[in-house]
Amino acid sequence: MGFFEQIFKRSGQPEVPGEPKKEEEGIETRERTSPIPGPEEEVLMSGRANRTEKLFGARTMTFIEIENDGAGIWKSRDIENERAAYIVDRFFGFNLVPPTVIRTIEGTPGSLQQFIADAKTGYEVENEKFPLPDEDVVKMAVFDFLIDNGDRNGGNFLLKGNKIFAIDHGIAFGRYGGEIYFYRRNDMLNRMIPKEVKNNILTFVAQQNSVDLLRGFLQEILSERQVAAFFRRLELLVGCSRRGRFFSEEEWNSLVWGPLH
Amino acid sequence: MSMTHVNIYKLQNDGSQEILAVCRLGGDNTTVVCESSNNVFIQNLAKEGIRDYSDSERKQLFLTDGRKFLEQLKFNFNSGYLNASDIIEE
Repeated sequence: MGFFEQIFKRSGQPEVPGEPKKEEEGIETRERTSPIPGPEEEVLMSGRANRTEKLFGARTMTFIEIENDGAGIWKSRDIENERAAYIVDRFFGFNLVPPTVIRTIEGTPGSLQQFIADAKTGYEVENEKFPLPDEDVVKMAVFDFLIDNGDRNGGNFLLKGNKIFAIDHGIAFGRYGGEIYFYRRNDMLNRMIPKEVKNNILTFVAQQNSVDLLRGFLQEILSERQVAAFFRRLELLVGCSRRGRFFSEEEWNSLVWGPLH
Repeated sequence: MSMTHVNIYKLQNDGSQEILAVCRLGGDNTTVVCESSNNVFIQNLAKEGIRDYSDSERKQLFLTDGRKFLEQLKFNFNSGYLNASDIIEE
């Protein structure tokens, strides 16, 4: 039986390689395993909006200065995708997406994402001196596959020093079935997955509590179809993580995308 | 040079926006010329192009695609950090 036949013959749940962790008496599992909300999210949710600036050119976006605590970018479109991308980022420790919450401003719900000061977009960085190590680009590719991101161009990632930030995930989670990437997809095939990334994926699926928590968070904001597709993609990445490499060209060309969007 | 153009704004730390680049439709209406004090941005834009979000395959557009390139700038630059205006006809 081939690699992909094995994957799609399994049930919808990712395989758990070991026994589920036994709960210790008296300890709230949710408190131990949920990475959200964090303190930065609390600021975004509750911080007083000192000043707002509607942004030129951008549809439905506002810069919001938060009293004594930085700023955020608020947008009223694709808010569930933006929040879901952040939740996934936090659960798997990619550390790419700035903190993002859903917050109602003047009666309109939107996503509010922490503003990264002094950052450059990909378009503003010299290609020859692209400061990211290869493994950061592969990490981004893994993340983009996991969230089914159909749009990663030079305008929607940021660089600050050696740190990369992934922004603008409106076209994710099945919203668009194509591919737009600043990296060439073919350059990612069969690349080694960074050790931290693969360990985080394998550790996550080994903790049923974490799987259930994430599923619960995603179900609050995404459709059943989107959540199911997410876990199918995760299952494929578990296979990649065990091998230590992103999909080979043969595997990639064998992917049946319908159930993965 | 045509006065038909698009402004591309860069969000500053204080929430203000500065014009990073101006892309104008050439007099022949077939080519776009972008100007900016940031040469890296202009070089990347010329080399990498942008995407046509009205096309199902999201094909690439370049300066030589003229008005179509201008039309699609606002769909490519709408992250908040870089935002493109609608086409401005003057």
